[in-house]
Amino acid sequence: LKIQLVASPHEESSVHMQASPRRTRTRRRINWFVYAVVTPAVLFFAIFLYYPFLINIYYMFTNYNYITETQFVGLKNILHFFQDPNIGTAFTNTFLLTVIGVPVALVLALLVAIAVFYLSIGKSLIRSMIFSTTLVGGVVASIIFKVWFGQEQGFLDNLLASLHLERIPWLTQPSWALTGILLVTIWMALGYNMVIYLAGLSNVNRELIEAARIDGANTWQRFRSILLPQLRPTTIFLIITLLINSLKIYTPVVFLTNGNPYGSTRTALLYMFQEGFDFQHVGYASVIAFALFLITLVITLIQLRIFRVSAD
Amino acid sequence: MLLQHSLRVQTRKKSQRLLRKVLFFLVMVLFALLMLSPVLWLLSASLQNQGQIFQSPFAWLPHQLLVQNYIDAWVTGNLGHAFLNSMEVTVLYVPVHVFLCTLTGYVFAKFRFPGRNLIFLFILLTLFIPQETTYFTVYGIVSNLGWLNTPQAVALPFFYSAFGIFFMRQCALAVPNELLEAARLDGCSNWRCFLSVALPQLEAGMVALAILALTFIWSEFTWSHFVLSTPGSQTLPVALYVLANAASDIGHTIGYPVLLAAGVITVAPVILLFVFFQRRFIVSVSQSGIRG
Repeated sequence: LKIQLVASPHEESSVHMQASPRRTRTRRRINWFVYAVVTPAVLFFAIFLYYPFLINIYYMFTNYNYITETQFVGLKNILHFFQDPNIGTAFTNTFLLTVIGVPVALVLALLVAIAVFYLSIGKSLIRSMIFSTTLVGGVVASIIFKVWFGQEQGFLDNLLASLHLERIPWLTQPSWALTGILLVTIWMALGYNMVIYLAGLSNVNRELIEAARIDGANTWQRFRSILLPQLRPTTIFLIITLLINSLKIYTPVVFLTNGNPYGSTRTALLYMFQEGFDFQHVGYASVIAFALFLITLVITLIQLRIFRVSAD
Repeated sequence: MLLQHSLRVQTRKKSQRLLRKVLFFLVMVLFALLMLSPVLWLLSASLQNQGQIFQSPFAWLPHQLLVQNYIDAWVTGNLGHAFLNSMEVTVLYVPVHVFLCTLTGYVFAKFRFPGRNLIFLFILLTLFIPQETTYFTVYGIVSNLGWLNTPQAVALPFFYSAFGIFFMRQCALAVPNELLEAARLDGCSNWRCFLSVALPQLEAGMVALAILALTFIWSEFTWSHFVLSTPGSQTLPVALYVLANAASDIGHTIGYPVLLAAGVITVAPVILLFVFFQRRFIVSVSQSGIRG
């Protein structure tokens, strides 16, 4: 999405500020203002993103641990990555959270946005109420749900018990714990996703929908063949955002289970931080980091490709 | 007779439609309340005692208001300190971030210089690097600077963002060139042009970016909890993390009500801001999707 915009820069719109008189030499005069602004930005991204990225690749082949002298260990970390059973668990969990969480979050956001969009009374009130949940933030949301998921006396289990339903071992059984993490994640993001979809809906051509209604298209047909295609850019933006955020789910996991019981609910990012910060195996953590980078890259490229193909 | 009948049918239809609208509204109110229930629960539970929190059924309206929880959170939970730290980080971060991104975005939108597109690509490509994977190295940098446990350590890796620069560049593209050229001819320097001509035009975009930056940094946890380990330096999310661990420890050194009161204190400023500037918040989030 973003890269395309670079490929077709808005050349016409720039002012030729430094080229006031069209003379031969003055055109090439260095514009100090531009360099004073751009240099710090370039340095920032070089130091805080490119340098760590490149040095991570170097760390992958070392036993760097912040303290003792760094030694070259060859492929040890990378081989360990492929043999470590924890990697399987962590990446499977991340994968599951993504594969289930992203579609659910997306469909839910679309449905809620359409419902709010067609409200004729109290539209902005309802929108604000739902959106405000996004502002709670990961830490407080996780704390609330941690108490809700409490096993003996938790709010949710009490509710289930009062409905004569069985209590759920929310945080002690891995699959339920992942469900809980999923619930928190979806709840936290719904308000944001809904607002993004609402912005997309307000750009939809309503005359087209009206025309289809007159031509006898039913609600589902109008939704399927007119509304959805027009919402495509919004959907693609949200899918990319949701996918990337889902790969990086961290806060709810730390608060709800911290990877327990027995590391069964660890996610990739949690495992990376545990290895890199708690155990100071930065070399090994770098391998996980690089894997996460590759996955992000592949997902984004696939998305961009699908988008470009569908845009043609 | 016939006319009267059709009129009656019409009014009935009208009232039916109204009824349907009201019903739809009520259904959506119920859904919104369901969405808000964790927040309402938090507020209610923060005013009750440990036993009442876990009672079934939960008393959504507390029988008596235990304001003591808030005092405990503020004093024993050390939240007063954390609140100040969070304020300090926010006041340091938001203006600097908005200023840097606006200035850089403006230059990319309105100036031509050798390598412009390449440099812009250089910045945008960082979107492919998950920032969490840079934390080990940046932690080393911060530690070498002697900045561990300082507010600037929290803000440092986020001062610029590719998104912010891209966003402000999109905003700056809409600033009319004639305006800038006129100022130029009047003898304005580049700096003056930016400050007195471009900035007023970019105000809406800057407010939007400021709101996004504020909500981000106020609840930033992942990076903060690695660099803020001493109690005196912790921001609200990190202090809550410590309290949450204390509450679920076997010793229960802190009660859940105090933890929940601390949660309310953490969320309240942002929610209050939202209540007063609802439209601004919604617009900035919508724009983040459209322009991003």
